[in-house]
Amino acid sequence: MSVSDLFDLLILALLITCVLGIARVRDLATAVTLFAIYSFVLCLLWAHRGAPDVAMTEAAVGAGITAVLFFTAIAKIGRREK
Amino acid sequence: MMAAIQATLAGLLIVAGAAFFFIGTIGLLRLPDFYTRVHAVTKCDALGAGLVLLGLAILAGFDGSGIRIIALIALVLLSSPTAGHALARAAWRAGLEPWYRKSGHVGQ
Amino acid sequence: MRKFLALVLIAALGAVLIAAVVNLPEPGTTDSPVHTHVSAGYIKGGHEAGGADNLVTAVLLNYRAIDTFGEVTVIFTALIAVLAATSLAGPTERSGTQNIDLKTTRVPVSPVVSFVVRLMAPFIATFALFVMLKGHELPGGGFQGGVVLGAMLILLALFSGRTDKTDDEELPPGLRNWIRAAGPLVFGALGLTGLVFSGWLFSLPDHPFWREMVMIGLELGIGIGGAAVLVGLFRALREG
Repeated sequence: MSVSDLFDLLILALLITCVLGIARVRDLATAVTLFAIYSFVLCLLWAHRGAPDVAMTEAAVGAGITAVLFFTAIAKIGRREK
Repeated sequence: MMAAIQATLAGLLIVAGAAFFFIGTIGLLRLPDFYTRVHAVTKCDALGAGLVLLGLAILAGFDGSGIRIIALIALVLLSSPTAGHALARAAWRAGLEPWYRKSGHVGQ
Repeated sequence: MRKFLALVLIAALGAVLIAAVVNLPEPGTTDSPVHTHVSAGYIKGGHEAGGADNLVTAVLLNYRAIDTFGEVTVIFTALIAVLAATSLAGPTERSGTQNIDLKTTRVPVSPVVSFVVRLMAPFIATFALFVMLKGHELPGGGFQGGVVLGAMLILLALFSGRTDKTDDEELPPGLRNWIRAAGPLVFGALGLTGLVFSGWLFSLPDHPFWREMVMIGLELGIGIGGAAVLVGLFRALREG
C-alpha cells in the first residue's frame, strides 16, 4: 500500500466520522458545521483522485453555499431538533 | 548547493508550521472557554498555514505556482484573523461570559 | 410480526446490493466495462469534437449537452420551488424562542469584518469570472464560477451592514427575474442557434473562433444565471 492509498483511507475514515457525527448530534448548527467539514474533506479526496472540476464544485457548493443556506434556514426554525 | 539550501529552508518552515498546528490543536482541546480556544485556533490557522505555505512556495520556486502560493498566504493572513474576530465578537454580543480564574486561586 | 417482515425485506435487499457490489469490476482498472466503450470514444474524439482543452467541459457541453441543459433547468426549478414554498407559507411568525434566536444573530456588523469583506470581494469576483471564461481550458466552468460569484454576493449581503434588503434588490424586479433565468435561456438559445446553422440541436459551430465564443457564452450564461439563482435562494430563505 502506497502513501497515496493511505491518504485516501485516512480521508475516508474522516468522512465516516463526520457522517456518524451528523447522524448523532441533536444540535442542528453542529450538524451543519459537521456537514461543511464533510464537504471540505470530500473536496480533498476529489482533488487527490485527479478531479479538480468536481473538487472546486464541492468546495464552493458543499462547504460554502449549502452551509450558508442551512444556517439561514436554522435561523428561521430554531436550532434544536424536536 | 542551491537546491539543498532551498529544501532545508522549506523543510524547516513546514515543520515550524506543523508545530504551530500542533500547539493550536492542543489549545483547542485543553483551553477552558470559547474565547481562549478561538485565540488558539486563529494562531494555528494564520501562522501554521502561513508557514507551511511559505515553505511550499520556496520549494516551488519563483514561478507560476510559487506566486500563486504567496497570494494564498496573503488570503489566509487576511481571512483567518477576521474569522476569529467575527466569532469572538459574535459570542461577546450574544452575552457569553469569558472564563476567569476563581478568586481563591489568584496569587498562588 | 411487522418487525420480522421488515427485517426479512431489509436482509433480502441487502443481499442483492452486496451481491451486486461483489460482482462490480475492480475499481480503477483500465479494462473495466465503464472505460472500454463510451469513455474511450469521448477521450479520443473529445478534443476535436468538443472544441475545448478541458475534456470535462468538452463532454459536458458537447456529448452531454442535453444533460447539462437538464441540470441548468433543475437549478432554476429549485429556485422556483423554494420561492413558491416560502411565499405560500407567508411571513414567518416571529414569536417565542425563534424571536430570541433571530435577535442574537442580528448584532451590528463589525467594521473589521466589513472592511475585509469589501477588500476581498473584487478579487473573488475576478476569480469567478476567470473560472467561467477559462472553463474550456482549465479546471472550472460556468457552474463553478457561478457558485463562487454567488458566494461572494451572499457574503456581501451578509456583511453589508443592512438587514432590510440584499444587493440584488437594487435591480428592478423585471431585470432580476431575467438574470435569474439567464442559465436555461442562454443555453436554450444557443442550442437553437445550433439547430438553425447546422441542423442539430446543441451543435457547436465549425469555425474555431465562433465555437470558442459559443462556449464562453454558455459558461457566462450558466455562471451569471446560477449566481443569481443562489442569491435568490438565500434571499427567499432569509426573507420568507
